[in-house]
Amino acid sequence: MIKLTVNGAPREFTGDDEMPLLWYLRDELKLKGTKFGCGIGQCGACTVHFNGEARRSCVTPMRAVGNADIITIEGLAGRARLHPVQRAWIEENVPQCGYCQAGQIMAAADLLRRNQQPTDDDINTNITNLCRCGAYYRIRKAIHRAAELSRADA
Amino acid sequence: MAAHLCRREFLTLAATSSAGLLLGWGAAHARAQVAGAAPVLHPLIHVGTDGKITLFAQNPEMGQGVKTSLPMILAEELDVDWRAIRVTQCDWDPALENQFSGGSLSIRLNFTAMRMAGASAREMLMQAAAERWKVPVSALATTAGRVIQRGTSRALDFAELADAAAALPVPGKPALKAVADFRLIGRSMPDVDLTRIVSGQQLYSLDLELPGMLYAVVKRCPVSDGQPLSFDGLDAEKVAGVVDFKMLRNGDFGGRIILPNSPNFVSGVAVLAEHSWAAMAGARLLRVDWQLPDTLDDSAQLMNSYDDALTERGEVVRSDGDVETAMRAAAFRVDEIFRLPFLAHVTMEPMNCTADVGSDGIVIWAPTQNPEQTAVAVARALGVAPQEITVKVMRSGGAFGRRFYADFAIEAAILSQQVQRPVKVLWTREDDIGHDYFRPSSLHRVKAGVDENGKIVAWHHKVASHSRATYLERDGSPAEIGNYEFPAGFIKDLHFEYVPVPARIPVGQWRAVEHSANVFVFASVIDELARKAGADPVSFLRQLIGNRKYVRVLEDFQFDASRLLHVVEEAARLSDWTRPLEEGRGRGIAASYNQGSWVAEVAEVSVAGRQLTVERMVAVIDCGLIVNPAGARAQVEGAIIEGLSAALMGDITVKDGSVQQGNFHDYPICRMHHVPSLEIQLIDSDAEPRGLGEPSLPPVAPALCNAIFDASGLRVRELPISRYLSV
Repeated sequence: MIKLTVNGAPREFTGDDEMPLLWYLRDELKLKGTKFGCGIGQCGACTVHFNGEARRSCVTPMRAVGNADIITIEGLAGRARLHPVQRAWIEENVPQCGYCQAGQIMAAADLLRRNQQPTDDDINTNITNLCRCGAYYRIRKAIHRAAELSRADA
Repeated sequence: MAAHLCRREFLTLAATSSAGLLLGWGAAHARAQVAGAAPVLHPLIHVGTDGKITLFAQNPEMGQGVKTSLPMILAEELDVDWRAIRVTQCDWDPALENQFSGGSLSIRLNFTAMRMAGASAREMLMQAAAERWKVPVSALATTAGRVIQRGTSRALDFAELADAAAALPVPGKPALKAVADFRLIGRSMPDVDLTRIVSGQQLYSLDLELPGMLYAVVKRCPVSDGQPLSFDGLDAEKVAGVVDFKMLRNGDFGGRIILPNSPNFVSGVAVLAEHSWAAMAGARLLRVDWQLPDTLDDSAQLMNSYDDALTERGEVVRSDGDVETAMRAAAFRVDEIFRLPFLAHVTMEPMNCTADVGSDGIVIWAPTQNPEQTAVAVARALGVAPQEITVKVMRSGGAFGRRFYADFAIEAAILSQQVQRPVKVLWTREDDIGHDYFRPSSLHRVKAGVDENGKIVAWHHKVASHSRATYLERDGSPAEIGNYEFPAGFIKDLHFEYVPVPARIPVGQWRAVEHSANVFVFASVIDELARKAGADPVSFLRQLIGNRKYVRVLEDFQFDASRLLHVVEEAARLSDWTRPLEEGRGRGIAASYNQGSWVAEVAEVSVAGRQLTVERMVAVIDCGLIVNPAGARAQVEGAIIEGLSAALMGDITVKDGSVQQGNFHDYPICRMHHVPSLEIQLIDSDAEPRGLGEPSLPPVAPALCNAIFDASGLRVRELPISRYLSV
C-alpha cells in the first residue's frame, strides 16, 4: 500500500505500482485537470507539484510516490480563489485551446517559487512545456505579470 | 461553384447563408414551440425559466475562439449585456447551417447569419412588448436586455417577454445595427471558458467519464491499410482491469473511406478496460497477426516518384499566354525544385471519443470540427439514420484540421454498440502520430523569368504530390494548387500544372491546407527572381502587385490587389525594412492571399556558422472586420508559431509502410525558447470579415528562408530547415 497526500487530503493506493501518478490522479481520484499529452515526459501537460517541486506525473510511477505531498492544478490556489499565476493568466487571456495550460501554470508557479524575478531567458530555460496552439508569447507575458502580482501580494 | 473557388472559398456569403438560415430557422423555431420547451427565440437564443438568457455557440471550439466570438455577434444585435448572459456549446443541429469549424470560415460564413438571428429575436421581443403595451413598435427601443418605451419609465426584461415573443412569426428582414453602433463587436473579450481552463475545471473529451464506461485503446496495424487476422490476449488479459478484446476491421463497416472525404477508423484490435492505464498496458501486451497490404509505402521513394511524375502530363490548372516564348525574352531565369515533407497535426489532446450506443439512443461526445460528418459517418457505420444520433460537441485540445474527420467517433460508436456500455476510445501519442491524416508531401518545379526592368515575364509551375482528393475519394479535381493563388493573374504568361501521385499514406487537411506548401514555393521564387534581377525584394513585390486596385484574377474573381500592396507596405514599415543589418543577420518577406485574407510577413534571422536564430517575425494581416481583437491576435500568434514549427523541424517519414515518428522526441515542435519577438498588426477595417485561423501560417516558411538567404547566402528549397541548419 502506498500512502500519499493529494491537495492536502491523505490517500492510499493499492494497485499496480508501475502505473504513472497521472492516471491515479485522473482515473482514481477523478482530478481531470492534470492532462495526458505524450506519456513520456516530453510535453509537460501532466505537471504537478511533488514535494514542492514541478514534476511530470506521466513518468512518475506510483512506486516512487510513497509519502509524497502532491498538489495538482485543482489545489494550486490553496485557500485563495486563484493563485497569482492563475490571475495573471486571466488578465492576459492566455489560453487558446487550453489543454496544455494547467501544466504551464504548474510549471510557472514552480519557477516563480524559485525565482521571483525571472528574465525572458530564465523563462525560456525553465518553461519547457509544449503548447501546440502557440500561446508561448502570452505565457511569457503572463509569467512576468504573475511575478509582479506575487510581489504585490507579498 | 466556379472553378477558382476551392471548396471553401465563397463569394456570396451573406446572400446565400442568411436566407438559408431563416428558412431552417423557421422550421426549428416551429419545432421548438411544439415541443413545449422554454421560450426559444431562435435555435441559438434561449430564455430559461430562471430568466437567464443562454446564447448557444454554434461552431466547435478548438482554441480559435469561436465559442466566444460567434455569441458576441448574437449578443450585439440582440442587445444584451455580455456579462448577464451565459454561453453554452451547441449540440449538432441539422437545422443550423454551416455548423463546422474549418477553412477559417466560422466568422466569415456566419457573421451576417448571427447578426440576423440576434436582430430577429430582438424584433420579436419588441413586437411582444408593443402588443402588451398597445403601442407602435416605433415607440420602443432596447437597452441591455430590456425593452423600453422611449420617453417613459416603462421597461420589461427580455425574460418577461420571451413567452409572448416566441409565439410570434419570425421577421423576414430584421434591421441590423450600423457598424459604427457596435458596442461589443470589435472589443477584446476574454474566452468564455477562461476561468475554468486556468483552474483545471474545463473538461475536454479525454476527461469525460460516464457511469459504466469502459476505456479502449486500439492496437492498430503499424502499416496503413493492414488488417488484423487474429490476436493473442494471453498476456494482455492478465493486466488487472482489462475486460475484453474486440477485433475492429474497417472492411466490415464500409471500408477505408466510409463516405467521400470521410476516412473510416483504422483497423486493429481494441483492448477494453476499467481504466486508462489498464487499456494502454493491455494494448502493449496484446499480440496481433496482421494481414499486410501488398505494397508498403516509403516516403523517400514517394518523393522520387514525384521527380518521375514531373515528366508526365498532369492536369493543367491554369494556362495563360505562352510561357515558353515569354521565357526566351527573360533576362534572368530560375529553374528550381522545391520539396516539402509530410506534416503531422499533433494536437495537444490526442485523438479520442466517447460513445454511448444503447437502446434509448445514440450519443457521441465528440471533440469534432464537423458535427454533421460525425453524425452521418457514425450513422452509416451503425446502419441507422443520422437523425438518430446526438452529437455533443466537446471543446477540443487543438484540432488544426485533424478533427474534421469522424474516424475516432466511428470506432467508439461501434465498440459501444458491441459491448452495450459507454466506451471511450483513447489514443496514445504514438497512435496519434502513427495514424494521422498528414499534410501531403510535394515536389514543385518552377521555371520563371524576369526582364531587365524587374518584371516577371514567365512562370511555369508544375507540382507532383500525393493528393488529398484522390486519397479521400472526393469528386472533382485532384489538384493541390489553385488557379487563383497569387501570383496567378499578375503574370501574363503563366502555367500551373498538377500531377497526382497516389499513395497509401493517409493524407488530409492540415492548417492552411495546400497553402501551407504552395506559398513557400511562390514567395521563395519571387525572392529568388528579385535577387537575380538585383532588386530589393520589397520593391520587387511592389512592382509585381502593381498599382491597380482590382486585378481580374479569374473571370468571376476581381482580386483587390491594393489590400495586398497595403499589407506589404505596412510589413516593410513595421520591420524597418531599409535599416541596414549587421553581418550574419538577414531579412525576408513573403506575401499571400489565402482564406480570403491578405497577409505579409517579414522574418529577421541570424545565421552563425550552422546555427540559426529566428530573431523577429513581423506580420500584417487584413482580414476585414474583427469581432474579438484579443482572439484575433492570438490566432495570428498561434499560426506563426505553428508555421515556425513546420518550417524549422516538421518532418514525417514513412518506411516499410510505417510512420517512423511516434512522439515529441522524434517529431519535435517549437518550445518557448524558439519564439522570436512577434510584432503583429491587424489592419483596422469595416469590410466583411474574412478568414483568420489559417492565413498567417503559410508566409512563415518563405519569409524565414528568404531571410536565411539574406543572412548567409544559403537557399533552402527543401523543408524542414533543420536539414541544413541547427534550429
